[in-house]
Amino acid sequence: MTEISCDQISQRLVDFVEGELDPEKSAEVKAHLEKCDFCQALLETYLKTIFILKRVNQVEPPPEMVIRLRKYLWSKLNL
Amino acid sequence: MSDTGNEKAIALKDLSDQELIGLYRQGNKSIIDQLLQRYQSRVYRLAYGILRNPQDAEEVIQEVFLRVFQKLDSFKGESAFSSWLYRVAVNTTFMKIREKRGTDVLALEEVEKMLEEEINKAGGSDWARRPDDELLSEEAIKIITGAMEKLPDEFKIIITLRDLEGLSTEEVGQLLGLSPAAVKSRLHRARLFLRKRLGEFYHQIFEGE
Repeated sequence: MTEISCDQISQRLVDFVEGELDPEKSAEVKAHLEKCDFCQALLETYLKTIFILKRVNQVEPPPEMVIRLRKYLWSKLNL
Repeated sequence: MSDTGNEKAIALKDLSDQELIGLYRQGNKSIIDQLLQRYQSRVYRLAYGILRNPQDAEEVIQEVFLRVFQKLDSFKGESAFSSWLYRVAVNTTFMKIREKRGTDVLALEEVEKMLEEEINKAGGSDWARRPDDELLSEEAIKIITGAMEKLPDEFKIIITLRDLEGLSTEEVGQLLGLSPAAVKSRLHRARLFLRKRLGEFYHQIFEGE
């Protein structure tokens, strides 16, 4: 198995977390992570960023906006 | 509501988008409510996620649904209704961005270089092992929301579609006319940028411990 650098880890991270790396490249990433605390922390904080990100923007359109939207469409579409 | 009304509502709810559009073509305009119910939140989140302004998002959502419903008769169904709607939403949101930006548009290469420089500055990873409940505070959400606002729109839209709305890389690429590799590259840099901002915040919070 080829040893890879920290820079290569960063480049492969997006595919690695999605499980889209081929098995050989994925094994190289795992082997590197096992001995590199820096990249291990990068992976963990990267995953936590995505986790926190998913909590953002759970917004719903305000009810009054939904009413205005419907009124707007009905008038524009002559319904 | 009468039994018949209930049955009608349930029946519409159970129909596919394509079936609803078929009914629309036969003159049943009330299916518009059903399509609105299905998609108004997603379109709003997309517009709001990028524009970060409720009034702008409202203008976009109105424009999107008006354009879509005006063209519903000619919708051929070559792609899914949701994909078409998303495409219109993305285009309308970008039009709004251009309208607001005026001529002050940074070249994408310039933006990418700026992001790269931000990401490469030393940033702490000392929050890696912190439990989620320590990290997920209202303040942290504010930090990441603020950092999202600073992201260039070309990156913000990818984060919004991919990480917040859960579209696949391929779907995002098709919507934005980008290759999967370009989507992934921008997604990765945007996530690293947000990670860095969170890192700075947590470093301050946990510094004294």
